[in-house]
Amino acid sequence: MKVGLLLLTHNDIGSQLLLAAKSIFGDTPSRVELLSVDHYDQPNDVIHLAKQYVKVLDEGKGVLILTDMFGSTPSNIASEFSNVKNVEVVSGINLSMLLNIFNYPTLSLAALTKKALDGGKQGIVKINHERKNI
Amino acid sequence: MKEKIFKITNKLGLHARAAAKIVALTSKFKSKITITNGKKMADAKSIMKILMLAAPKNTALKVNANGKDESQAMDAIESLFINKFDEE
Repeated sequence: MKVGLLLLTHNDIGSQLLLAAKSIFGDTPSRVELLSVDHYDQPNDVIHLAKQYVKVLDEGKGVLILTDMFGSTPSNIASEFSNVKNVEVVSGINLSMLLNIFNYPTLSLAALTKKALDGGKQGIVKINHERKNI
Repeated sequence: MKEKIFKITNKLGLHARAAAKIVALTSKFKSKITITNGKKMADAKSIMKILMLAAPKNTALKVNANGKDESQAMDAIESLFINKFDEE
């Protein structure tokens, strides 16, 4: 049993990040669903869909919702779940956040949420000459 | 404790897919495994920590394994490095 992941993002951000993470890991060790939000989508419709996804994704260990920019519509929709039991919401999704989650697929929801936050932050680095990796 | 030094010989260095392969391999072992690049040491079971080593081709990395299955772990890691992470 693993924590389910819902990527709730603008347009194709979630699907493209998932594609890149898959190509790195060779597979997705966690169950992942995608929900993209476009400017013509009605937030209530998306919330309704998100509720269904959360229900399907929760195998008993909960669901982690990853969204992109805090304060944007996808993030505001995701925040509807911030007080829901067995659901955590993290904004600022990036590739390193996703990779760090895939690194530890069997963790609890609380521990995996911490990994998401840590991974997301670790990937943001000012690249100087010493760090140049070519 | 086992300790060995490996040189990265694949063209792309210790990039994301190579790091993921290391993690997939080291996670199978109970031993504590670390990779060191100069002053920077990383948990070999953490992809982000490995990527932060920023190790390009020709970097010499020190690998340490400590635990009951340290010998098997070190052998498996050696094969992965020798086979250039199955890339070339």
